Amino acid sequence: MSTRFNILNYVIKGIDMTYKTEKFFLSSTTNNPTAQIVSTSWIELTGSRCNITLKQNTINLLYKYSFYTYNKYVNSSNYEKTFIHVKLQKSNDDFSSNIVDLPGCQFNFSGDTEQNDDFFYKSCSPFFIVENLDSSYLRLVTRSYSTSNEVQIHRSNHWNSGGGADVYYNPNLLVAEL
Amino acid sequence: MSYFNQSAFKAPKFLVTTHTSAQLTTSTPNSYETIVGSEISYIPFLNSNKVVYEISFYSQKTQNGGVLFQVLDLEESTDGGSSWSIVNDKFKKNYGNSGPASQKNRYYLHYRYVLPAWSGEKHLRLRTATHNDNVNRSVELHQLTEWNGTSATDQFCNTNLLIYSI
Repeated sequence: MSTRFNILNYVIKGIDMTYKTEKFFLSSTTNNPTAQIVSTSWIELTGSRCNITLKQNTINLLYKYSFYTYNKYVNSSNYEKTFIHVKLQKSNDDFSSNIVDLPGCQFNFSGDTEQNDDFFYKSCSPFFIVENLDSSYLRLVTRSYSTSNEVQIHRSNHWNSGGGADVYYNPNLLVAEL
Repeated sequence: MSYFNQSAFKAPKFLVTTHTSAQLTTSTPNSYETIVGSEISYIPFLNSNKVVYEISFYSQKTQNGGVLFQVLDLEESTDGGSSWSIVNDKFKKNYGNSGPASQKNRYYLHYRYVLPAWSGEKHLRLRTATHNDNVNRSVELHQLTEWNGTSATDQFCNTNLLIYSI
């Protein structure tokens, strides 16, 4: 489900002219997402890709996204320890061949990796402001630090005192021109 | 000729701060320091009811053992930044993990404060300090000392700050 709108109006009063300039806005939710397993190769976070209408050569943009993580279950005596890298990328061809990392739009996300069993269930909310964006596409990608730090995204196998429920968290995206 | 920006936010103002070094907080309890990139001046949009102060920054505890456990205070100034006071005790926050005495935690933090609107200009800033304890609780802000599966010395996370009226 997504909402996208632009507003463009202008008013002419005599020789004076007033413009309301267009501002891009997008909000979307990915319903019932399939679980993503994050390993040591970069993957795109489901629902994080967007197509931005550029009415000027460059714009300043707010990019907000939220997703859920939990440490990957291997077996009852072996849980991975959450530790992932996350970064924002831009593209002018929908990530076909032009893929550029946005400097500083990146972070690490982990529980306490010093512990043998770090049961880490948490949502994460990237909040980036991109200045002078000159490309029409953005997305988030992630990878784990090592094969011992793999993570399951969007779904949890624990809920309401049970172990079998497959509960999901819809990732949400909001992109707004500033 | 005049232009009005038709944004989803009223009178938005933002600040993106890039970093080239870590900001190391002290281990001394209640010794507050301003998070680099958190200070901004703002005049609310006319007749607005609320002002939203929204910030993201990075914090980690990966060196020298100890615990990541911080307190945060939002402060305001009405004299251009000469004197400061806490906006309201209800905006105090903790983050971290008060558990084991030797931790390696990496936090990406995003906070959204909804404040009553005011008239004229105010400065706002976010202050951080170590929780009152004798365990080493200094943290490293902004710098990522691991990246792409290995250790790193040149990777940083911008501090993003947006303030607007509603």
